Amino acid sequence: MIANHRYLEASLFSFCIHAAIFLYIYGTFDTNTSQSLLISKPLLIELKFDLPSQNIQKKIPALTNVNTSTPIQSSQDIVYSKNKEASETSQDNGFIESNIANLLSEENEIKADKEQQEISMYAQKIISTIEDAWMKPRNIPEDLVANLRLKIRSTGRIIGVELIKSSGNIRFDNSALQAVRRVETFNFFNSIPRTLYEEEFQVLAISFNPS
Amino acid sequence: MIKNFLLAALLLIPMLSYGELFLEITKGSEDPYKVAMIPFEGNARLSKKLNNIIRNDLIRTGEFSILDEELLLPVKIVNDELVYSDWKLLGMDYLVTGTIVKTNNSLDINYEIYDVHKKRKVRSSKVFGIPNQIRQLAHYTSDGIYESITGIKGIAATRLLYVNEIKDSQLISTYKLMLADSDGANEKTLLSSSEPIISPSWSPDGRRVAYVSFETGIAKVFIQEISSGKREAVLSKDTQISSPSWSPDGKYLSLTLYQDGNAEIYILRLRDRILTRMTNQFAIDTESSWSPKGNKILFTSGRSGSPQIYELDLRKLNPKAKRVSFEGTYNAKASYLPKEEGIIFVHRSNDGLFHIALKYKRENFIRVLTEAKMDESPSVAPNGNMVIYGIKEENLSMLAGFSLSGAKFKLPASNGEVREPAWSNFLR
Repeated sequence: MIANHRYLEASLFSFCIHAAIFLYIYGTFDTNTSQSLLISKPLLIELKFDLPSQNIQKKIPALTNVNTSTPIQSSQDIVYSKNKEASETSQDNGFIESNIANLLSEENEIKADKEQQEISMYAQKIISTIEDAWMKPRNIPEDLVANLRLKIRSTGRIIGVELIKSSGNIRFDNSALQAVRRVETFNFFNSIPRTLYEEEFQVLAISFNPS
Repeated sequence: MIKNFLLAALLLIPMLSYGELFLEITKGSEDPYKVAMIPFEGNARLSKKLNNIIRNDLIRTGEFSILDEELLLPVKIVNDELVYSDWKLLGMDYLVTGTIVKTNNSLDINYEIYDVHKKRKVRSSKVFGIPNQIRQLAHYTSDGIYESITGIKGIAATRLLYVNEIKDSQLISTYKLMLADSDGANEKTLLSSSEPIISPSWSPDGRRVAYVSFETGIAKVFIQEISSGKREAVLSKDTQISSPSWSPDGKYLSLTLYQDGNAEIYILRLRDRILTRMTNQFAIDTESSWSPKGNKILFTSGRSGSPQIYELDLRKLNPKAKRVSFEGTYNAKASYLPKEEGIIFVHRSNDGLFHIALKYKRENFIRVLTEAKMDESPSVAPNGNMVIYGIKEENLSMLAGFSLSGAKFKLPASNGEVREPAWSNFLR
């Protein structure tokens, strides 16, 4: 009996270790990549369907909430989610019971809204600049997707390009990299507010998804 | 009048001196890499020749545009650092420089590739050779340039097999099995016969070829060693044997045998010449070709009433042929792309014309890639980016090629007609 018990314990222990290893390999603990993909989701949707900008605004808060684990983002997210609750209560109770906290949060919400609008505007500009520079190669299979990560200076100069997900087709990957090379500098970057740049546009993930 | 004559003479001279290589680029790709090639330092005559061959190799891929020599700037080096800004202004993506080092019994090429955007050297390589191998060296160099820029292995240093038919004044034909560099230069005759030769096929190591010769009156498959010219019939049977295709490990040859009353696919183990029958059908089964991993073969069969392409999984016991082409009433002569992501084949369109087409495995439609009338026998380059095939122009057969990225080129025969091209594997 004792021996069996030991085996059970040992197998549980081994299971835990293996589970930990698999989770590590699948990137569960890898907070870094999920952070950089933050901006890529709206970009991806844009490249795919050319949705109106409202949808992007909806998408971004949803994503930021998922990624609260990352230190840089967290403070902003908490503020944002609080805003949301606050604004809901203020609507329920009407204007009479509004206090200074509500007023402040309203202000914050307007500010956050404006910021989201700005983000989507600049994201749109980035997308259209890259789209203009991109030549989709001929005779490649459909449903290919490649993701790139760009590091961009505040001047708009692209200082680093990295293929984070290959499409499996070298010609397609090359065309994406070549498009970014051709762009070289986003010349509207100097109009992006410094804080916004630091929060959102220093590192970008871009998905090339023509299907 | 004299002026006109002079002009005509001037125009003729280059055509004559480059008679072996007449390369016609008919179309380039939309977004080529822009490359400035500085003439290599060293012997001026060799440098010019080298430069020409590399330039042609790169342009033929359709993925490069090379800056005109007149527009080249001097290469400036400040504090051991190349000055990139000039090249950037010219819109260049890459800069290639090199030197030729020639001694009495060796000819080496050093070359460097600079990335103008990243502002750094991305490759520095050396190619070793002997003096009369300038073409080979040039091809190796252009493959190095191609690979370091695109990440795809180059195919300039690969070779082609094809059949050349020459008619004499009495219209009697001579058939020649020819071997040439991938640019059509360096032609060599492997076999000359008064009877037709068809279906040449490379062994995967590039040392031997298999082909069908009608020299005995009926179709027979022969294997020939390239270096020695030694040849033998693969089977001493008294039946028609055709369309040989080598397995990727070089151990087997798939064949079409007519001993059962109609054409059936067989696989021959070369070591002991044991034959295994792969198809058993009242209809014609022929034109087999192996998958890159050697676990499947494609073939053409008439079992559905029209020629269509079928696939056979060799790992299964008693494998059943799976039909893979469904569009139209004629699909034939298929071969796999190197990663098995799709097949290239001959397709008859609704207008009754024959074109080369591509079908990706995951797609349920085909892509027609050529637009002449009678396109035939496509052969895929080992990097999967180019295809060479036979065309007819004014009733003359010649070779044409295209890259999947959209470039097109032609290789007209220097003499007579050419057909049935076969692209070798990588040869290094």
